[in-house]
Amino acid sequence: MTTRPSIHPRTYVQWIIALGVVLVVAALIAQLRAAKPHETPEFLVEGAENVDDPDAGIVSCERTLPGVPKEEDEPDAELLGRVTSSRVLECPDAFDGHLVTYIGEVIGDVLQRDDGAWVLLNDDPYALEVGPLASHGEFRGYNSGLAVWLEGDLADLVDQPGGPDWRGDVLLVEGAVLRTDPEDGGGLTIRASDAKVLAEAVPLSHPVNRPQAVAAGLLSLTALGLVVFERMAARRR
Amino acid sequence: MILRPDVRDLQLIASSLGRAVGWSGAAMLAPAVVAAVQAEWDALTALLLSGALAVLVGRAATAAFHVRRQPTWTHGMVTIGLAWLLVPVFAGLPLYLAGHTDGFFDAYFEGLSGLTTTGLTLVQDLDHLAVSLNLWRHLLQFLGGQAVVVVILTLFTTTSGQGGSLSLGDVRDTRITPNVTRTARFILTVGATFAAVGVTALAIAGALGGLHPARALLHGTALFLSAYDTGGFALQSTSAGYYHSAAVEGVVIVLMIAGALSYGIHFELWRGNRRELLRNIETRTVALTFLSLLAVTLVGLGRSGAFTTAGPMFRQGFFTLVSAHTTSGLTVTSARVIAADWGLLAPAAMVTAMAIGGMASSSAGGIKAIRIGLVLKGISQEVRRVLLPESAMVLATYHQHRRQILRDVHIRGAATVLLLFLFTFLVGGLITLFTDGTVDFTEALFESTAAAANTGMSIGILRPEAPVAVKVVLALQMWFGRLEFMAVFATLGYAFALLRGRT
Repeated sequence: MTTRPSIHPRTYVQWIIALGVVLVVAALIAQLRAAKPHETPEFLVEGAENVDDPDAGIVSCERTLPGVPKEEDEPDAELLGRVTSSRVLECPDAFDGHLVTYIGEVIGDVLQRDDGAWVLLNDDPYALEVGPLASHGEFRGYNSGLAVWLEGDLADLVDQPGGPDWRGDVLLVEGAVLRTDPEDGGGLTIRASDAKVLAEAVPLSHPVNRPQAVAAGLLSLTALGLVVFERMAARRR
Repeated sequence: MILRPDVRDLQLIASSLGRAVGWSGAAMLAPAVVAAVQAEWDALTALLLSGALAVLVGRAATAAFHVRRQPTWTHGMVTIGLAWLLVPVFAGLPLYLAGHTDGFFDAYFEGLSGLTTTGLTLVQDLDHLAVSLNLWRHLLQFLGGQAVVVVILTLFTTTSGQGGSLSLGDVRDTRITPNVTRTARFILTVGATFAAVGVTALAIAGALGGLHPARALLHGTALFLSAYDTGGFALQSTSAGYYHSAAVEGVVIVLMIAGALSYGIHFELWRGNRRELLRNIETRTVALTFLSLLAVTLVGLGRSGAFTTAGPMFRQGFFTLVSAHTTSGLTVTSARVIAADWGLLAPAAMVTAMAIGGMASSSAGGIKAIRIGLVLKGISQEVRRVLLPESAMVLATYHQHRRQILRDVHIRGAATVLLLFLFTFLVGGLITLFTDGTVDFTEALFESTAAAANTGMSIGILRPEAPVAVKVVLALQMWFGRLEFMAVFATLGYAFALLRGRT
C-alpha cells in the first residue's frame, strides 16, 4: 500500500479563503437583488376586482361520466356570470357549454386566422391586480389564463398584447366555454361572441439597477481581462 | 478497504469543476447579446454579472487547484455528479437577480431543471419574463441535453468494469465512440442539422399560425431547444398549447422523437442503414410500449367522458403521450385539466410512459427502452427455460447494431437500474405525500415520476408556495434521474470515503 501524502496547512488556508469568498459573494448578490428599484404604475383594472369572488359563476363541480346524463342537458342560454380561469381549469366539465363573462390580459401574440384570432387571456394577479412582477417584485404565484377565440374582427380591439415590456390590453369577453373545442384540436377554450377593452395596455418602465450594473461592468471587465491575459500567456509559452 | 481520497484527488476534481463552471458562464454571452439587442438592460446586467462571476470562479478554481495528474474514471464520475449540482448555482443566478424567483433556491431549482432537461419550473410571471432570460432557460436545456449525451457515450459506457452492473458498458453504442472528440463532433453535426431544419419548420408553422415572422423565429428557436433536448420549458405559460396549431404540434412531435432517439440509431440512419430502425431492440421496445400505452390512453380518455369526438381525443392523447414517453414534458393541455378531467386511466398511462422514458444515448430520461427491452427478453428467456426440457440450452439474443447474445450480466444491470428508478419514483412520491398534506398519492406519484424521469410534466404539486422539502426532494430526484444513479453513487461514495476511508 502506498503512503498517502499528508495535507499541507496551506491547503486548509486555500479552502477557508474559498469558503469566505463564497459567503461574501453570496451576501453581495443578495444585496444587489434587494437594491432592485421598482416604479409601480397603476395596474388595477377597474371592473375586474373581486377575481376570487366566491359568488361569481357558481356551478356544481361534479364530473359527468359517459352514459350518465348531466343535470342540465342543455347549457344555460343566459350568461352564467363572471368566471375565473382557475375555476374553469379545475372543473371544465361543470362549465362546458355555458355562456360566461371572462376578463383577462391579452398575452404574447394575437394569432390571426382566416375568420378570427386566438388569444391567451390571463386573469392572474399580475394581469389584473398588481401588474407584471418585474415592476413591483411582489410574488403572486404562476400565471393563469384561458385560450379565447375572438370571432371575426373582434381581434381588432387588441392594440398591444402583454409581454416583458407591457401589461397588455385587458379584455372583457362573453362567450361559451368549450371543454374540448373540436376547432382547437380538443383544447379548453372560450368562444367569444362579444368583447370590449376594459383597460388599455400599460408600458412597463424598467429602471436600471445601478449597483447591479456597476458590479456587472466591473466583473465583466475583470473576466475579459483574465481571459485575454491567459490567452496571451499561453501564446507566449 | 476504502481509501480516503487525498488532497490531490480533490484538487483534480475542483479544477475540473472550475472548467465546467467557467464554460457555463461563457454560455451566458449568447442570451446577453439577445438582451442587448432587445434593450433588456436589467436582464443584460444580470446575465453579464452571473456569466462573469462564473468565468472568474471557474478560472480561479482551475488555476488554484491545478494539479499534474491523470484523471481516473472515478474522478470523472464524481466531477459529473458535482457539476450537475454546482453549475445550476450560476445558471439560476440571472433569474434570481431579475427577481422572477422567490428566493435563491427557486432560481437554483430552475437552473437544475434546465440542465437536467426536466422542465419543471418555479419562475413566476413567466408571461412577462424578459426574452433573453427566457431564452437562457431554453439554452440551458440544450447545453445539459447535449452534455449528458457526451457523458453517456463516454464515461457511462465504459468497458473497464468500474461501472459495475449500473454501467451501460456491455450494451454501449460502440459504433459511434472511437473517441470523445469524434463523438462530440457527430452529436454536434446531428444537432446542428436538426436545429436548421427544426427551427425553420417551426418558424414557418408559427408564422402560418399567426405569429409575426420575428416572433415566429423566436418561438421556433425556443421550441426547438426544448423539444429536441427533451426539456419541456416553454416561452409561454400554456406551453405548446399556446399556438393552437396542428402544424406546430406535428413538428414538435418529430423533434421530441428525434431527441429521444439513441445517437447510435442516429448514426445508423446517418449512414443510410434504415433497417437498424426496424431491428434495434430499443426501437422495438419503444414501439411496443408506445402503442400499448396509446391504446390505454385512448380508452382512458374515452371513459373519462371529456371528449365527444375521436379526432380531438386522438390529437390530445397522442401529443401528450409522445411528450411523456420522450420525457419532453411539453403540453397542449393544462396539467390542471389533465388532473381534473382526464380520469385516472389516461394519466396512469402518462406516468408509465414517463417512467419508461426514451432511449439510452439520448437526452431523454426515465428507465430507458434498452433496459426495459433487456428485462423483457430476460423474462421471456426464463419462461422458455421453464417450458423446455431441462437439458435444453436456452439462448436469447437481441439486436443493437449487430446480433448480440443476452447475458445474465446484461439482465442484472438493467434490472438493477430499473429497480432503482422504481424505488426513486415511489419514495419521492411518499415523501411528497408526507410533506405536502394537500395532495393525494396518485398526484404525488405523477409529480415524483415527472421529476425523476426528467419529464417535467407537472400536475401542480410543484408550485412556488410548495413546502421547501417538496422542492428539495424533486430537485434530488431530477439529479438522480439525470445521472442514472451511477455518478450520484460515485459522488456519495467519495464523500463517504473522505469521512471514513483509510489513509
